[in-house]
Amino acid sequence: MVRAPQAGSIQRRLALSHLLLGALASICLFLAIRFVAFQTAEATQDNLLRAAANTIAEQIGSSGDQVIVKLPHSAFAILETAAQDRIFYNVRVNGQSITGYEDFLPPDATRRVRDPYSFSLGYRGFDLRAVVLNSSAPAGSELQEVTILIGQTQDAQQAVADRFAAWAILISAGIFLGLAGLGAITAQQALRPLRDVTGAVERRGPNDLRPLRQPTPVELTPLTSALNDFIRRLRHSLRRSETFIAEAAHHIRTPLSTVKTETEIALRRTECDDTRRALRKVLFSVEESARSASQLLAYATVTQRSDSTPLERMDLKTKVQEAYDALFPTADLKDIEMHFTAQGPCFDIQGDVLMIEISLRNLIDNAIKYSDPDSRIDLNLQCDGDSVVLTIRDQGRGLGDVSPKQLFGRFKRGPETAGIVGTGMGLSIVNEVARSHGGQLYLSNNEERGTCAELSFPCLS
Amino acid sequence: MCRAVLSLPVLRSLCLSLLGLLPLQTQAQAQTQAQAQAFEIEAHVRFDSAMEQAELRLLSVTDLSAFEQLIRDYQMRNPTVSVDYTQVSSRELYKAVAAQEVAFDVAISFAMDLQMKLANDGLAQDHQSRTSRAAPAWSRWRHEVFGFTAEPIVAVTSERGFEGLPLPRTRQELIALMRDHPDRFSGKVGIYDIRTVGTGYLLGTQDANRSEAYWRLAEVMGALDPQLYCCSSEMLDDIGTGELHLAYNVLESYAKSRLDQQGGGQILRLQDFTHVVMRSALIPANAQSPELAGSFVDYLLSAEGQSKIASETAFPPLSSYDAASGGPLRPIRFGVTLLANLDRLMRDRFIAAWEGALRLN
Repeated sequence: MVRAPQAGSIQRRLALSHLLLGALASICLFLAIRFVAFQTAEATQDNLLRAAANTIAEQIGSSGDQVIVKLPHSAFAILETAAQDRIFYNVRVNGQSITGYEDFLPPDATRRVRDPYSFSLGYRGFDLRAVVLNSSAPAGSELQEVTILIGQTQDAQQAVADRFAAWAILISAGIFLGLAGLGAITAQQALRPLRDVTGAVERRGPNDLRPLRQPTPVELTPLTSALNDFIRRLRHSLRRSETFIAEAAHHIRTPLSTVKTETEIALRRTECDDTRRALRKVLFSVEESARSASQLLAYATVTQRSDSTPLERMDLKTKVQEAYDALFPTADLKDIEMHFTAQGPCFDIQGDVLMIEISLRNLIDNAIKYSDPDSRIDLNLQCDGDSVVLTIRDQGRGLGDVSPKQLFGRFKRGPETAGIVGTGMGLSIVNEVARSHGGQLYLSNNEERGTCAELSFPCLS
Repeated sequence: MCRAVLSLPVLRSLCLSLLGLLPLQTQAQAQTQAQAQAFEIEAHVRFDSAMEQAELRLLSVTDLSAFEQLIRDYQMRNPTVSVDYTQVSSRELYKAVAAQEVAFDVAISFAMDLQMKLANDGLAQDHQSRTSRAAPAWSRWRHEVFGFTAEPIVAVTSERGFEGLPLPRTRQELIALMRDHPDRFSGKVGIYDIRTVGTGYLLGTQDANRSEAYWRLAEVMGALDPQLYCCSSEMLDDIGTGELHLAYNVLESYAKSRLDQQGGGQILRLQDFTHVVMRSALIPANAQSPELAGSFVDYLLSAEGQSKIASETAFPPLSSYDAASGGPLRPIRFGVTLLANLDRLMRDRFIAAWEGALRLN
């Protein structure tokens, strides 16, 4: 098969795009989970800080013109975390610190905020999440402002976020692997019809020029249609050239037979030796031309029939016997002994009767043609169960040094054929017939002298 | 001793001023020295190493006599280390570490709340090692405060005072007993003055958090003219002489060693709950040899150190408290809740309630 130039791979492209998609999806998912986890953990911490601030705020009271703030034990207990976070706090009345860390102050912007307000800030080198709660208590005749600020480090929150992030990594990796696997499977599945079509085309015999009948997906129908169209044109052009050859051969043969008849009449009438010699040469050439023409016709018939004619069952022994009978006189003229033997129970094969006949005649005729007078030709038919094999051995001049395969080409003749009428078409016709019937033609030199031809066909049991 | 610690920098500043160099800086240094003196030193000893390559500066509230064996053992394992031991009170220890004027490598105290505050405020260093991580989780805070003893807090009764009476097993029974025999117990009950004694205050607040019985106990004691003490040694002295029938909230280890000498008293682990406090070590943020400090902390927590504590000192090692067993022992844990103890408002309120219950005002 001739390798077509390649440009990338659809399967790889499909798989790669899935991989990219998987990577993108898992990264997005990872970031999303981490973000949500962090937000959730922060919200939880904010709630605890607010609860602590509210616990303190609830205990604010006054006696006379004094604001009384009590720090309940529970406000601290709420802020115990598994990660053992640090806390800092400051409670101020009218901007004056009454307990806690005096220099731990909320941003000015939060001064007017009424509801507990959560924010992040740094204190003593620690990153804190903090809540500020502005409250007021009546003391004496006026309202005093009480500001509660509680801050906590974020280790517990970070631990929760980290745990979620670990899960996120697992989930993302799972999704990535899943999508990658899915990509591989999808690419495989999507390309199956294409492989099916390729296989169907590859499995065809060399002369099988029927259109593809296989159903294909919508995306592939343009390709199969184009392919079918191409096959149709190919078949058409092949048939046209063969028809042309047949017609040409026919047109040559008819006038040639006229020339032959007229020459023979002239030969009989003339007395002059020179003229007779000349006329004999003409006759020889005319015979050669006629033979070429009929072989061309046979070849065209064979190739044309091979892909269209229905096959029928026949007994190969009968066919060989017929050819033997037909050519026996020719052999006898050259004093060639010809013997036909057959071993086996059954010689039935499936084939085109006309083509089988043509090939048998060609093969036996060849043997006679290249045999010397007073030699012997053995025809032997054998059946080994799988195939029926006809072996023809002559004692002629053999194949010479040339490879047998080369002789199967059209108009190819071996080196040992000088002086013998021939077209170079015979063996190619036989080979063509053998191939189109699933059989084979072997040629080899005999050990002593001459050629051995083996023609086999699949046997019908 | 105190002067010896300070003599070198003073000398240096003197030299500098003599040379007429940087008079401003000298002044600043003098100021620094003044601040450095802002804590009172009770004792100072240096354990010199013959092969000294490094110096470990310990700041501790523990009597040197109790700690000496541990230091010697540590030096045996680390022969190139000289140990400089400074003994202070727990409040002075807090002040010294918080001020960050003089650098110590390890600070050891049984005032859990003050140690906790130092760590919370970022004044302690992180220390992690295989040994420190192997210590039970309840004995430490983050990787900054490391408890290395577990000491139950008990009541001590005099044998004479409780003659003919059943020994109380719980606070309820103790309350009932005192209520039923006011004549016998009047003026014979000793407690810490929590207004001045930090340990007393810590134990009082922990008792009050644990159970309402504390306040009823305080009220009953208040009716019995309670005696206020500054330290457990005096309480135990008075148990020995018969001045007291009951001393409440005393370190068991201390009581044991005293009673072994003088006799005449019994130790009472109350069954409703018995608090366990921890002596703890931390590495101040400004420690000059944190690796050495870490090695000392690891020594205290290691199997060798712990067994040395059990055999050579009066302190029970961490393993004496088994977290898995039920029982009345309740360790006081390090945590931000302890910070509440040090809050001024909380303290004022608690002391006011305490004074009210004991009829001190």
